[in-house]
Amino acid sequence: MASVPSMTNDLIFWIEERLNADPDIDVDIGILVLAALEGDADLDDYLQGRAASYPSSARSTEEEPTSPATGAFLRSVQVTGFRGIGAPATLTLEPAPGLTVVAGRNGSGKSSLAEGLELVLTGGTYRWKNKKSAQWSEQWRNLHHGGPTEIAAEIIEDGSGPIRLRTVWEPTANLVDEHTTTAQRTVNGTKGPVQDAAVLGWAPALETYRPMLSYDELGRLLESGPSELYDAIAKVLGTEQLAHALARIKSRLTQLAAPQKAATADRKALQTEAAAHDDERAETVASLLRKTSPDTTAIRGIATGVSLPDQGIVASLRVLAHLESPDAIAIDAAAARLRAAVGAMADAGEAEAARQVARLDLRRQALRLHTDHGNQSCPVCSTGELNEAWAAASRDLIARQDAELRRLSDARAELEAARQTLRGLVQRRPPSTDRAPSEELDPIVARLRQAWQAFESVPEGDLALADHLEQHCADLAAATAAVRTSATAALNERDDAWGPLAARISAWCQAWDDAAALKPTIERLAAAEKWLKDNDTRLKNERIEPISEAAKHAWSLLRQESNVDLGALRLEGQATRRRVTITATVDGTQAGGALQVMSQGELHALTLALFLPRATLDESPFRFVVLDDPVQAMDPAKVDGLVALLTKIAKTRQVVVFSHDDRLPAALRRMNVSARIVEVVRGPGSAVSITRVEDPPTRYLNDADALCTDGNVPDETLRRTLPGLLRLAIEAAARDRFYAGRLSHGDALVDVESMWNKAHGTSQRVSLAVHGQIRSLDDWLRTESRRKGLGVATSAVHDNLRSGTKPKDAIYHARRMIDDIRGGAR
Amino acid sequence: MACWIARAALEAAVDNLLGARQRSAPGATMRSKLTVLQVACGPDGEIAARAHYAWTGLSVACHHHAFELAPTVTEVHHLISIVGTVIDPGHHPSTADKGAVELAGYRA
Repeated sequence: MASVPSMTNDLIFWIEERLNADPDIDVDIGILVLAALEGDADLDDYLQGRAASYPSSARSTEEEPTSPATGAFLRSVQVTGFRGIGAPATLTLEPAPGLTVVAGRNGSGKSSLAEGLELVLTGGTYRWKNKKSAQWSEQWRNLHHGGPTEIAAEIIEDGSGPIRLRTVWEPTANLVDEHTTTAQRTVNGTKGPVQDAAVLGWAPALETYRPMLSYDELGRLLESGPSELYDAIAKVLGTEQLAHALARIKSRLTQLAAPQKAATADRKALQTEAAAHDDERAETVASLLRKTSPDTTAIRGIATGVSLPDQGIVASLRVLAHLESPDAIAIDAAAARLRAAVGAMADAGEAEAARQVARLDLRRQALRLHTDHGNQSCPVCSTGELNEAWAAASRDLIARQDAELRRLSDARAELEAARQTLRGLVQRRPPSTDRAPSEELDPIVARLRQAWQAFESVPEGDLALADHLEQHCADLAAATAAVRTSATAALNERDDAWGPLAARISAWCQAWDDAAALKPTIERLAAAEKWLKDNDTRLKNERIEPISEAAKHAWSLLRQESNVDLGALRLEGQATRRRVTITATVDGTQAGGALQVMSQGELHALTLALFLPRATLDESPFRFVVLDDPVQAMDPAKVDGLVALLTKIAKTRQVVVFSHDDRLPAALRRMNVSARIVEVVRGPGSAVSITRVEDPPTRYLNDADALCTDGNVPDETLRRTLPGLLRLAIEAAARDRFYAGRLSHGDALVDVESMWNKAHGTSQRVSLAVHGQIRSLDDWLRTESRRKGLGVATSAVHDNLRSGTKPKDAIYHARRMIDDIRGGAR
Repeated sequence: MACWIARAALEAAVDNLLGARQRSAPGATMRSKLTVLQVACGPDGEIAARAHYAWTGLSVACHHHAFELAPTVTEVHHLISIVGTVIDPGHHPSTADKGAVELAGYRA
């Protein structure tokens, strides 16, 4: 595991592939998902039907947050007047991949260095973040140091050059948080302006990748809630876009669901109110509202009065309110008419009528006889004469009498008609008055019944009829009016009580219908949400694969004698139930969760196995990882494993380990690892000294010394071995110097590496270190030590050390040459 | 007991390796011998690293004091199997030992 291979960032492309591969998902829902990924505007547009086209793929409009830093190495940390360090103490590191151990007893100032580094980078330290009491944040100044407190760090950006970070406190500052941090870049040798450190924009990357791992924090992470562990790991997976899309959909769902929720709540409230209301309309509505999907059309009808109940009190009242009594005017008119007709009849005379008609008939016949047969004697009395005079007189008489008769029959007809008319106006009492709809109306309706009864019972005889009706009509009208008024009043009273509730119910019907119209959209969004959630987990677990593998491998190195075997790492669940599942087998038996079966030491090792991969992802802009006391809880056996793991990481990363434990340096020596060891020692007055104790050149030189001192090494073997050993020492020193120089200057690590690999032979490598390029060393080889040192390292490798040269001298020259190379002497 | 024997076997193996490269140093300290071996093997001196690791580990096991934690069976087993690979470079360690062998392969 060099570093976890980088993951493709093209999230939308991945989503599209998944959508195409999934047979169950609707095309519409798929487009919805993509729209949600694009952004708020796109999602709204699509929901409202404004955008019908497929959102473009292979390019995400959402900015993937790119870290501004690329490949940062640590060069140095200088701490003054902070915690355990008084006078300025500087830790210098090689700003290149490799392993450095900063060793020191507890209280030596080593932790102050680590915390200082953490503070200057992140603005705070983990240890204090979680300690709320003011005491902690007040005791940060070194008590021996009278001057200002300051922390400075030099970071070298691969391909860019050094950046100097500086944190200072005002002399009056009380709390540790009251500091200001500045950053200053150096480009091509010229120092840039001093700016606020926030301008570097490292905060998010620091938070995500956490290149500084402290024992406290690591321990806490595994023991904290499952969702915290989930977040700590999920952060590096780069799936924020999905999370944003889900958030977008969720917010819209909440928005859209709100009306339905409100309407349902209202329904219940209105139902209770309506049930408690007297009015029978309320009763009907109440029963309709009881259903979870009520018939809003019916309810609206009742509430607005469009559909009227045809039974019940209200119906009766309504009828009574519109009750009409027989038309008084018509009755008066008809009665008058009847009276007139009766009078006219009296005038016309009934008695004589029949006899008159008979006599008239006879006379008519006689006239016809005369007309047909001329003058003659009267056949009836034999005395009179039927002549012209008689004919004329008869005609007049007949005409007159005809007229009279007509008048009489007319009067009769008129009388008949008038009588009928008047009788017709005697309406029967309507059944609606049988019963009063409510108690208070009882007397009034009873009174009406009475009046009507009186009105209805008509006497015989025309004139009597007319009189009767005229008399009772007014009374009846009054009684009816009274009923109408009280009925109307009662109705109004009821309406006033029902009205407001009815209005609200009517409004609610509208709200309910509006909410129901949103259902299809809600369903679409819910489908999209579900799909995204499922695939969010799937994507996360695809992307976590490399970390999972790296963790497994790291564990295999760290586990040593643990019989817990680590399985896959998986992220599961959503929202409050999100968690990391680490499967494990114990001696081959499935153990469920790894966390439950591990001992404390194993858990600590597991944490390292999990979070070292995270800190060393390719995506991280930081090429260093700092471990604070990782060995504390480790079994001796696991220390070797840790060293193996760290060495592997150190091939491509700068690994700095702070440790008070002897076991770590011992393991380094045991495993022959080319690590640097720096020792931190505290002197009086908080004067902390930091000295380089061991590094590859030093080790080789020490080995050479030991070889020399060992009297039992045959001379020949010694002379054969020494040149090679010294060569290793010199080249190691040259490498360090070359790398540090070029990287400080702003060269990219890849370029530096390729330049180094092109060099062949010690001369070229020394030249790179001294001059930065491969060229002649002649002018540099001014001193004897340099010449002789190089001589031993080059020609003598194949020919052995010349018999004229003493081994001790050779070592002496090599040592001085190395000092020169390290010191930068030109 | 096994540790003592293994260590002795290792020392003999180292002597053989040195002899094969005409750099024998009988009577020299183990540290010296291992240094010579490392330089003699050059870039693929993995075997020297493994020998160094095993020898250091076995020495600790042989000389362990009462107040130190004793090495476990597995540890010793690992070390012995590494010795096996030093004695016979063709010997392939079992998978259980591979981790230990990988461990010991770290050097400059």
